[in-house]
Amino acid sequence: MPAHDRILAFLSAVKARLDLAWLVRAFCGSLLVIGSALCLWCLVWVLRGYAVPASGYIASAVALPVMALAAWLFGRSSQRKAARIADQHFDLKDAISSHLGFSDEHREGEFIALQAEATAVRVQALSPRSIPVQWPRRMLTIAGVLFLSCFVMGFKKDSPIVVERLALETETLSKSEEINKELEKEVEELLKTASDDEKELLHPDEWRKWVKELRETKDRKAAMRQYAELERKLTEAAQKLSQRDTEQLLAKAAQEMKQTAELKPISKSLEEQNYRHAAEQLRQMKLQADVRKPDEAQKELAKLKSASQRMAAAARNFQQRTGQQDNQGKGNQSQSSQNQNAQQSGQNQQQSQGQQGSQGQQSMDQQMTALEQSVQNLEQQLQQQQQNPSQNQSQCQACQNKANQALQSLTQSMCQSSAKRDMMKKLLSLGQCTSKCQGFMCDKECQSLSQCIKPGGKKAGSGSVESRRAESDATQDNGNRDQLTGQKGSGPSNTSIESADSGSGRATRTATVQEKVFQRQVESFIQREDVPAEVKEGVKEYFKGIQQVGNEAAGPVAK
Amino acid sequence: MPETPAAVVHFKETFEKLRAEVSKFIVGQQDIIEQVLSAVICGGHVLLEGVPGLGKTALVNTLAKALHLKYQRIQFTPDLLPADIVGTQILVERAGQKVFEFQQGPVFCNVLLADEINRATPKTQSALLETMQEKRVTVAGTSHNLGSPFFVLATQNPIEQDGTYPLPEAQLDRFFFKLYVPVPSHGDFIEILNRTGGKTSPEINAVATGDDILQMGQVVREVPVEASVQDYLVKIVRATHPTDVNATDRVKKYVRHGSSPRGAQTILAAARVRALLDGRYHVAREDIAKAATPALRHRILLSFEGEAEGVKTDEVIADVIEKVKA
Repeated sequence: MPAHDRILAFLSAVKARLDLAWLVRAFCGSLLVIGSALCLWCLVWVLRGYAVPASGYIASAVALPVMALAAWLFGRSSQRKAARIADQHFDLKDAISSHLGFSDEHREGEFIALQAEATAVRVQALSPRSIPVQWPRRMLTIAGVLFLSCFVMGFKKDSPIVVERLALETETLSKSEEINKELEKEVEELLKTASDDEKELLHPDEWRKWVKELRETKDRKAAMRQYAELERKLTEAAQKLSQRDTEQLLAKAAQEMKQTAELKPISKSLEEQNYRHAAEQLRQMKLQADVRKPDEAQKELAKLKSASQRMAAAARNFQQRTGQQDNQGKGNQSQSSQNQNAQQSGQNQQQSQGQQGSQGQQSMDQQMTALEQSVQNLEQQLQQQQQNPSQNQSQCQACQNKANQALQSLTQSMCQSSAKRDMMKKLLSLGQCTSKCQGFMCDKECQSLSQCIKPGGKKAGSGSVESRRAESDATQDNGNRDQLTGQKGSGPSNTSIESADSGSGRATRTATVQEKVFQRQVESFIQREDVPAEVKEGVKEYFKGIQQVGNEAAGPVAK
Repeated sequence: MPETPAAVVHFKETFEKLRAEVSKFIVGQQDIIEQVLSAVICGGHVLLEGVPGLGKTALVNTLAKALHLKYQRIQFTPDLLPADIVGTQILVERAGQKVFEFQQGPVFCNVLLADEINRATPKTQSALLETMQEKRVTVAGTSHNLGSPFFVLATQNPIEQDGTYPLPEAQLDRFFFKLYVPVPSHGDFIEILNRTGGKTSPEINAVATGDDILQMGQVVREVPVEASVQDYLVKIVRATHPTDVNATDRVKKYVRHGSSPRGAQTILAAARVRALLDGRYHVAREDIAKAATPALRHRILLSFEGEAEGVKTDEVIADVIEKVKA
């Protein structure tokens, strides 16, 4: 057998031995690493109060051989490394390494052959088994302790707090699922029940997107946040449909019309904010009489004239109040608050306004004055026709058409206002529904969402007007435009000191009672945290002093 | 198994004969004797440093006697001139005509003992530069080859500072080894007294010729070196430079200049000798590490900080050998 082969055979045996030793070390190292990781993992669960999931043990059991095998594969000795280790272990003074090097370089010569032979002779007498394969005891002991502690920790169960938290998470998840489905259903129903006018104002895709964005979550705070966000969006959408100025104008018109007996039904409808019905009643006043018969036409015109005058009076009153001038030229340029609201109320609203043409650009007060103007023109034309029946027929007809057109425009605006109002109600109702969903999320006593959302009332957007009389109407302007925010103790005191002329008035109550009231007020005031202790003491001393003086003063009188 | 070549057998036998012959007179100092013989075989020069009376000159004298070679001794003194070493042109009358003839100096020999070399002036010391490296002498534009083998064995005394001229770095680099001759042990002292206190002194015989030395040098060059061992050698030598990536902190702090490539050549040659003496036909890392100290100690220049702190180059080399990965 050539010297080279003998050396390689020896080297293979050494390498196998080294691989075995490395396998042992890799296994023990993996055991230690996996044990440490598992122990850490178990500790994390236990310290948080949870029972340790079995998945960790299973994963460790799988990871241990995989990791050991991977470490063994990547850390196996190369032939060169084995040669170096063999040289060191058997004190061969680089004989095998040098031989491998010469062999790789294909070096030949007398000395190379001698070196190979000498090395082969030396390795023949050596046993690779003398390379130790030791189980690292310390490492194994530590790993054993770690695994034992993991085993013990595996028996620990969930703490009561964790059990409660898990139950809460499950409940939150199921509730959020239920709420999401319910809200989706509510929105679909709302969209289904919307009238044609309302549909023009709707953004169905946007609403569906909002609802779809809601996700099922275990985190109650996150769930609450998302429902609060939805509520905010709905409220914002409702606020965009707000038309307080129009409602005030129509209320004024109702008051004006109330003064005329034949207009009382319209007035009532307007007062009830049933604008659609009022619009229907106004439409019935449409001028249909033949202008060639001025008497009949004037008779038919009388009611419309009365209504238009009342409405125009209300409009002028409204314009004066809002500081506007009834100027047609300026009116087109300066936008009334109605138009401002209308512009803000979204794309559909703009589209609906655009469909109304140039008259649709006018605000309702302008439409009212325009109607009055048209009616007055028609009346003048009819009077002229009575005087000269053959001349003004075409002009009369034009004026009549114009008056009808102005009436049509006004009624359309009123119908639109009615639709907006209904839509806003539905949005607010949906917002309330979302708010109740938040309540349901927090409320443990509420067994189902339907109980929480509909405790007996009608579904969202379908409540009657009458039922809301006793409730606060969110669409009514309550004057609170500013949201008050503040920090406790950081704001100024609400109490103020009022000065009075000394000795100019006469007490209607006895001084003792007044003093006690004042004392009570001041003592309650000084209970605040930011009042220094010295001041508190000073106030107490002050009232004690007053009482003493009062007692002294009362004493002689009693005597 | 192929038989051991005759050249290798001759190498070992001759070396052992020489060692045994020198050891007849020199007590102990086996490492010094082996290193001096290694340097002689490799054709290198040796600088022996030690306090007076340790047997430096005796060692060289004994070696010269053991070798059947022409031996010369120069006692270096401050008034020694270069011409006193290399020779000079003298006017002679030949065939009725007066001509200049080159009179060879003591350097024309095989073994030159430069005793107390640091006592000569730098000018005189530099006269040895060409001699040691090129093994020839140039006088009046004419070069004269020296005999072969040729090696200089110089001695110097480290404790005397007055009237001495430290060897320049260029000259130090010409020396194969710088050896510190240690103080003998207690037993060696007794043996020295016994050997030298009697009526007769040991008789030294010439056991090797110049050809033997040259043949041994040829055998040494045939010892193969594996690439990774050579790589290790280069790493060690490069690590003595403070700018090298493998330089240790000590080197960076205390060394001004590291060893030249001649240092690496020296280590390799000495390592080959050691391998053969150990019965191996390849150079091991251990041989490199052993040969590094005597080969590098005079080739490393310490910085001012190193000199001030009394750092020894041997410590620096030991640090490098320890830190550089084999």
